[in-house]
Amino acid sequence: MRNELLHVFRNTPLGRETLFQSIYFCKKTDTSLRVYIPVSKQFLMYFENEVVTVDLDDSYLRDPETAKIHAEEIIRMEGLIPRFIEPKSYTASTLPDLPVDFKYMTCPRSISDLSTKISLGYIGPKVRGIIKNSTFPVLIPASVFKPWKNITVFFGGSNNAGKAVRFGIEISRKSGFPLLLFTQSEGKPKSYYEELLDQKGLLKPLKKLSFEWLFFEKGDFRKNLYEVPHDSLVIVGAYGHGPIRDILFGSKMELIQSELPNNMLIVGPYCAVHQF
Amino acid sequence: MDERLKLVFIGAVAGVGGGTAAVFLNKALEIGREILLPYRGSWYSFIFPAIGAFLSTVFLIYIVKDVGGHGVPEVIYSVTKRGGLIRLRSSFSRIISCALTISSGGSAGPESPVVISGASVASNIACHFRLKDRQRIILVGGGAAAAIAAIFNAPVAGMAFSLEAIIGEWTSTNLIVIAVSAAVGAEVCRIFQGNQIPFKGGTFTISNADLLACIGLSFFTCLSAILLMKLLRFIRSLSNRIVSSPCIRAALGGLIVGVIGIFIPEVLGEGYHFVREIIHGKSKYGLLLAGLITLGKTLATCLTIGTGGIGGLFAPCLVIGSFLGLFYQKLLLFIAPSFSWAGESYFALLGMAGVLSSVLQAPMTGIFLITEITGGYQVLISVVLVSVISVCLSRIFEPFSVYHQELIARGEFLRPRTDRYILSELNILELIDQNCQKIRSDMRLREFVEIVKKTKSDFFAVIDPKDGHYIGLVHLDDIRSYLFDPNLYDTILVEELIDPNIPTVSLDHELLEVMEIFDYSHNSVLPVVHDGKFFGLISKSKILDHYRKELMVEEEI
Amino acid sequence: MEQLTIKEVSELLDLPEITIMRWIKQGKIPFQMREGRYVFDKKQLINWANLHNIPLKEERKKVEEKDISLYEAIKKGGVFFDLEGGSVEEVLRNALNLLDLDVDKEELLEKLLQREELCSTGIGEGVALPHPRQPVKDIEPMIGVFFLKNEVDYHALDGKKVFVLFLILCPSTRLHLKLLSKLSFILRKKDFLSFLRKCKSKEGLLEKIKDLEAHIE
Repeated sequence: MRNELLHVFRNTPLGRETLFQSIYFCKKTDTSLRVYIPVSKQFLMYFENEVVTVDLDDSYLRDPETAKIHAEEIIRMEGLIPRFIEPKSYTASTLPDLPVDFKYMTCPRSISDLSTKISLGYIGPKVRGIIKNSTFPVLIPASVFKPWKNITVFFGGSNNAGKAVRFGIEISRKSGFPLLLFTQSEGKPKSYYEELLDQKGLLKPLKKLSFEWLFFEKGDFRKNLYEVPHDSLVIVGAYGHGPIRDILFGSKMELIQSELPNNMLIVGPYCAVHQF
Repeated sequence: MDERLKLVFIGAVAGVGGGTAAVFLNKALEIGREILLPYRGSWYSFIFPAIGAFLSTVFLIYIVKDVGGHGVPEVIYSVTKRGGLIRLRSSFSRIISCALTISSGGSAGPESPVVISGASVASNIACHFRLKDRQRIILVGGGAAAAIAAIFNAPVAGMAFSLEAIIGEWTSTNLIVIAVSAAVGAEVCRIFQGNQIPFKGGTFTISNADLLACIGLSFFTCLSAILLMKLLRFIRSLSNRIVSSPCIRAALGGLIVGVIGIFIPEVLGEGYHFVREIIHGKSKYGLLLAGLITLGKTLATCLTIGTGGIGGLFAPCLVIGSFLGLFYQKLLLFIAPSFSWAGESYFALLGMAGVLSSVLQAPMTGIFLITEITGGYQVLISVVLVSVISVCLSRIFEPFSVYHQELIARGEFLRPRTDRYILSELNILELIDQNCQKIRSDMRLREFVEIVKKTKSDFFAVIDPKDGHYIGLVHLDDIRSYLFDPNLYDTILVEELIDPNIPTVSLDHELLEVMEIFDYSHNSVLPVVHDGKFFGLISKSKILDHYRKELMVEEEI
Repeated sequence: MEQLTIKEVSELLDLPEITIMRWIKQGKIPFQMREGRYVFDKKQLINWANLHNIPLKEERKKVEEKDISLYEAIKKGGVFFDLEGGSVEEVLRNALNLLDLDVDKEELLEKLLQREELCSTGIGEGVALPHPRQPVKDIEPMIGVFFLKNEVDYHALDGKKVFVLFLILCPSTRLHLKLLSKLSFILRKKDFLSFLRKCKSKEGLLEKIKDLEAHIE
């Protein structure tokens, strides 16, 4: 797996904001940035058990002559070296395949619908398809670039949540930013969650980082979300307990994505976690 | 349950899928024909192919958001490079497009679109059962076989096509599952459409002279196949250059086909009706007309498919072949009228076998298909003769089948257990040796000598201490003389010992490219550098070791 | 039913873990799932490997070769004075007889003499470093120091007669070279050479060796 983040560039002011966020994320997590400037309306991602067709919305193909120039400008301005991806394989002459062995990928809330649809509560089907199958977590940036200064991880006890915590720990280490854990207990005491974290081998690393635990024993989950700092990177597992549902993510996840405007890193069921 | 048995069961399910796809397409074609029947005679009917082609591409590209092309190259690509993964939308998109193209009069066949439908259904069934690549590939082969088996009521041909054209190898594991799928597919179709042999001919009386005449026919079929393939390529590239919008392009092609159809109605649609006539000996065409229709059908087919119409080549090959056979028979009668040559149906049958085998570069498929769909087992020898000779001759001019050409042009064609295939399976990351010692560029020879004493490597990567970037490689072989000259110990910096002629390889390189770099640079070891950072060394000997293991694992027992 | 992890399989097949993971994904290697992890049945895997002719890496028991210091080697071999003998062969034979060794001494003597024939181990200034042409198997590394009763013509490089032998016996080339290198180093020192001429006690020699060796490091 390469230590890179895949960013599909949209040559619009909205796309510019997304690119800034990708650049910031890369800088803070010491990852290389790879940009794909779309050459056709679709591309394919062949995952292990499914091939996801990403239909791009028209704005991705706007003004191709200036796309590369704009992207390079922005990347250079932020002090990184622009690196682009040229698809090497094609399923059909107008259908390029993109590699999938990245560490992260940036996707806006919707990649195939109009930009007007990008709002709270909506995550497009293609993006969902990618999250469901990818071995990398997906970064969904806020609509306007804002540098995050801390990391909030939602932990509900499931395996997916455990993975999310692992990513949180890694990113906190690399970036040096403080880590917050958010748990809405459903009547269970804090020790129960501590026990779970310990079983997953996460308690020790967390303590080393000296994290803060936002533990809510009561109250409405949605209301408690207000406690998530405004300048936080939110990391959350796509599914909680229970079997994988095809259309929707886990219930908490859906609530989170409809309520929080923060930058989000969503950890799907197949995400590979690196040992640190 | 035993893994293989499980696979056979799932193969049967895939067979049902493939068979159903064929049934759907047949039904759709019937419906289309019925709808347009009352309008066939009218003056404006020549515009139908254009409209049909236009609608089919619009549907395919804008509504379903799939891509054009008849689909078999995509199945081959998926099987050879993508572990058999095919998009679900391809299971129905091509069927509908194809129905629109053909029923409106476009000169194409329903077979290739049904292949990708069957393959896609099988692929998604395999995904549902969480099968791994190798098994999914076999299942995809099964789906394709089932589709062909169903649409022609010819299970053996379906199997042969799948193994010959799509998977590319006949191995025992493949065979069983695919045979089951094909049989099930054919059966599914029989349930809905009855067990008929599509082109059942009568009995044949053949003399030795007829067998000799077959050889002559092979030349003609070979020529015909070459003409078809070359014309198809030509029209495809020409139309791509002239018209950029795929829908308009298809419509234009359809228009020309429609115009041809005014004069030669035999070129429109599938054309099986005419084939049946010829096989039953009921045709009324003379020598010149038969020849004209052969050429006309070839042109119409290339126009339909070359401009982006969705349809396959099987049916047109059969039509072209039967008219060619008819032409040849009439020619024989012309040359030696008193000799009692075999009937038209005999030569038509052989014509079909010859043309199909050559265009597909798949003699087994041609042989099995023709014998199965005509019930002509008596004439097996003749069929084999014509198929084989025609294929061998056409291979000289057109070495690859019409399906493989597209892939080859893109450099995507890989056959299992070939050098290119194995190299494409291996990834650089698997071959990197990270035991190479890194040293700072500002180190003096004296310190370097101490390091050499302690390590076992022959190669040392020189890194810039300021940004950690790779600068070059030092090979002990090249610097032996300096190592033993103490006078140089304080005057030489390690940076000066670098061999500037060693090219680097990045993690993005495909292994085939890496081998090419090895070949032209004559190094046995190369450094892997990505984004300026040194990752390790890659050596030819390690590649050999992995290559062999990969090949061994690929081998079927 | 012994189960293996991906790591163990990768070591057994001498392939990186990512290759094994790829083979799992492609269905090329038989595997099972246990609690969401990939595991392998050892017997099944070995059968599979044999069927495909894939070589298995045997667990080579790494014989940890401990380094030995000059001091320890000499302590093990022993220091002997007044060794009888008027020729190279005689002194070597007598020396071997004094050593506590469980090997065929005639054969070893042969090897020592062969080495002398190739090139004398008399390095000059009255010192000789006899050793066999190949390492001696299954012994502990040792250096026997023999002070000769009478000086012997050893055909040394500088022509001088030899008064002391350092007989080096090692089970591996690596150790042999290491000891030889250290010994040669200290034998260059003039004051050590004059010490040797006057040396009369085992303890004294050992002390001196220990001291000199400490300075090499």
